[in-house]
Amino acid sequence: MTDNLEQRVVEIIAQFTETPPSSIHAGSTFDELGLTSLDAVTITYELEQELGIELTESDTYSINSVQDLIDGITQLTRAGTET
Amino acid sequence: MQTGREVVVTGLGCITALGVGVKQFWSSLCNGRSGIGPSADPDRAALNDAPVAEIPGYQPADHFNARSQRFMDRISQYALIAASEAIQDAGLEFDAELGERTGIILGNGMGARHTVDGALEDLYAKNIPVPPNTIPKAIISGPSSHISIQYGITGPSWIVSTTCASSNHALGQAWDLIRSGQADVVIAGGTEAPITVPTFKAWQALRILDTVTCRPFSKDRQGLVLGEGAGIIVLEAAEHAQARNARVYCRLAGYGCSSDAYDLTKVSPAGAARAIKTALKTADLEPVDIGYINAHGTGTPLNDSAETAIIHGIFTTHAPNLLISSTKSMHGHALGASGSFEFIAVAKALAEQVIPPTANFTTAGDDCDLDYVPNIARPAEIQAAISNAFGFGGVNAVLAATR
Repeated sequence: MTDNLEQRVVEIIAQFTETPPSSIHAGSTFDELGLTSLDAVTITYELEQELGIELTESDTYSINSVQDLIDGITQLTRAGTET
Repeated sequence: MQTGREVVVTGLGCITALGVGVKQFWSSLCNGRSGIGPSADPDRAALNDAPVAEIPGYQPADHFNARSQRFMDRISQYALIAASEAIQDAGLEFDAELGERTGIILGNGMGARHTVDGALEDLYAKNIPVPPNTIPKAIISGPSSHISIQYGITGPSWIVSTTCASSNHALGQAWDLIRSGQADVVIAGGTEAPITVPTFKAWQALRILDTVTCRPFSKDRQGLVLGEGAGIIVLEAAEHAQARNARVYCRLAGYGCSSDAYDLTKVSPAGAARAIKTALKTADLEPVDIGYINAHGTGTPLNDSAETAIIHGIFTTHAPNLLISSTKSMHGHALGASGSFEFIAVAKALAEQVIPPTANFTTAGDDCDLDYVPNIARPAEIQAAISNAFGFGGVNAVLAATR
């Protein structure tokens, strides 16, 4: 799940920034990718729609890197399976 | 009554039903070619072939990358396309100093219909949550902000919303900014993108849309035809333009505006007449100096006869000598952007000494007894022109331009 998720997050960001997926990795910060906070919120929304989840507002604004986004989603999906 | 600095037109740009660019726009106008017809856009199939003046074959991806499209409604897209042409045409390059001395004042009547109508349809009909780019994309000041960001223009910028008079008010306010010394250059004009299915149907419900085409001043006219697009005019302090040897199309010499305090949709002869008189007065022009009027000329039964009567009232014995045309017969009525298209037509008419016609003209309507330059453009020596815009809500704005 995590590997697939990372791949999908990278693909969506690559589509958004119109750059090859190979130039994006888990450690990339949104700043490095030239993404504004508005871009980050929009990318998060697109992932939410695709995965059928919803991150809380405070989660969304603490996301500053690809890894943060993967972690946020993983946490949410794990919480979902546990309940 | 000339006060303040002289203002000239140094750049023009547009995207309309006649295509992208002023060259295409002006050659269509001079050939009396109308851009009106049934929509070819599959998203507009529910209009059932009602006539519209849509930008032919417009695809956002031909002009903007995917990321820009996410944050730009069509009102911003059209404005940027037209601004890019106008700024290039004016030969301007913005550094920090010029950026600070430049403003952006645009008209828009209907807001970001594609974004708002689309989000509502998704939410109510498909239960899709509203995406976070909706507000940034839908802000009505998006067009001026995008131009500011793109070119590093840091002077005053805002959007004027006075329905069909929006562009003329925007150009008038831009004129004031330059005259008063608050700016040396203003990117002015208007933008509109009202052809979504719900917004079109709302106009249709008013029963003022023509079901065939736009036929201003003709006996068989039924109403207006909705258009879309943007027109941008670079206005510049004459001394600034002169210092950089810029090419000048014409002077924006006067501006008059008024409110009717009368009715939401009906033209008040008194209010419109006051706007024309003020435009002439501020330009130091007498009625007899005017050679051409780009009429508001919507093609509605009420407007065209009322406008004719207003022109008779002000121009009296000179009225029969005037060349009058409604270019809405070709670019349609793009509401808040219409005045910008029409001012471009006026600037080109003064520069080229050719009057664009009223297309689709059949026989003159009752009470329409002036020279509407029917169907065929006419070379003419003109020194001065006015452009009328009378908007819903009883708002009037008239521009006066000279060679």
